[in-house]
Amino acid sequence: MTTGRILAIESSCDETAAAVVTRDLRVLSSVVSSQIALHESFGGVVPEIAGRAHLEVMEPVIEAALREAGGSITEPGVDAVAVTAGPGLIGSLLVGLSSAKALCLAWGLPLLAVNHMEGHLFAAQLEVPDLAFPAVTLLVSGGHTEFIEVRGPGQYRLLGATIDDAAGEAYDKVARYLGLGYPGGPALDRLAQLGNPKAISLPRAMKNEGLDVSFSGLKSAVIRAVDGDPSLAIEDIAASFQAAAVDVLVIKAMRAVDLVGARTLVLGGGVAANSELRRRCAEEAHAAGIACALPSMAMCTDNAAMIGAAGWHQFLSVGPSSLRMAANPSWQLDMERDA
Amino acid sequence: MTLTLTTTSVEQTRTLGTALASLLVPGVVVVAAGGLGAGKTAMAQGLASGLGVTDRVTSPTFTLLASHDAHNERGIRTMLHADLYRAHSGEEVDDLAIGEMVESGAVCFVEWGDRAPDVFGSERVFVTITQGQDQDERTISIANHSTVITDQDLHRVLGAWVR
Repeated sequence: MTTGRILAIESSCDETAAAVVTRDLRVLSSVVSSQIALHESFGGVVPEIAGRAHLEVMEPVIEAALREAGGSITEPGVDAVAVTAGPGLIGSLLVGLSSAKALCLAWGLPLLAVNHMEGHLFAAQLEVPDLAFPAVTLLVSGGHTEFIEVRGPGQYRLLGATIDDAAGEAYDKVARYLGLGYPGGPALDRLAQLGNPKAISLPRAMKNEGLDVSFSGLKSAVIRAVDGDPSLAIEDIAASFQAAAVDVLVIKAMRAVDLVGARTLVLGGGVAANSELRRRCAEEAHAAGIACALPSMAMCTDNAAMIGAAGWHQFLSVGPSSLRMAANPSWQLDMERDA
Repeated sequence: MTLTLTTTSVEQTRTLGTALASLLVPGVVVVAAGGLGAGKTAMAQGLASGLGVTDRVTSPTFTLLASHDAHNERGIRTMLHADLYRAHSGEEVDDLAIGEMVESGAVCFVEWGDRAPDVFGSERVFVTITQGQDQDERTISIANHSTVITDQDLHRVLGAWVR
């Protein structure tokens, strides 16, 4: 008997997550380890990075996701188990993949090994079911800054990417330099709204060339400006940095939209929460007469619901993966590099 | 042995990385130190190019560890590129299992490696990048703490960079 549901598991980087997603891409549960009360069971200490942390929270996270969807470990009520098999940290990936394989063996269900990046590309579809293709997805986080053409589910082309630092990384490093703590991207965004974006002249690297971006020079330029003039207001530094970073992202995104004739601009990744990036993308997409999909924060950051969506696509169009499937830390999404 | 070198552009720092790559043998870890924007990632990119890595090499700050296939005549099949900027403890660095991977024949370039210099085994080269007099100038010290790279080779390959 089929249930029309799958369990999805994600553990490729910092977050341990599990979700139950239906065939028509309704999210019945989506649990991320940082959201649930771990204090009782783990004494309040949740290491940010260690693969060991995934091991500690994996089982309670899976149980919580099943329970919220009306199932349990003994009566899961799902047809398959989808899991992130790469790219990511090998130790972290193995925790999720081994858990998924064990559950598949115990329950007699098929395994669906999913690419984490493909999950991000499916995230918008969980919230915008009638998304118009072709779309250009700007995937922007601490680890990624990529412009991807999505012609439809499973059809991708990498149009451009960062050549050095990811945008979110530049945000966090500048924030830390300004003493805003870490991760400081959101704090920098808030400060920027109070400052003058034209206070300091900062470079827009490779503004007129292609679809690749570079943030290393911007990071260095901010540090030089701050060191060179200690009287600069922190709000003005933040606003000037934000203006330069968002400018580059939006200019390239709209160039990508033009290049492929996209009907929708999609934002994904943690930096998609940035207020200025959201505002500018919506504005530019509107001016170009195309749709702009701005997924919620929960869907932009790492989660298992998006792995479930990608898992359903794989289940229905490709079929299950082998239980011998190995984790692949550098799994490239099956997309061509634009010549 | 420690060499103190000077580069005057990001491109030169990258080229220095490529030169350094020609000295590496399987099992060596390059422990790199230097502030934000010093040029650690640029040097890693040059090193990768010298090892015949064709992937795009970017900063691994958030991903912590990247593994690249290498194609060269010195038997190095994998270049690991790690970043300890976000690490809180030596235990977390241990969890990355860099030691095990270099023991099986990889080389590793570790940005912010000075935050846990002692967990990478005994075959280490320490690189420290500091800001020079001019905006683009960098003073780069390279200290050979390995038994597999001779000081003579270090001087032969990098001596021309000493000012």
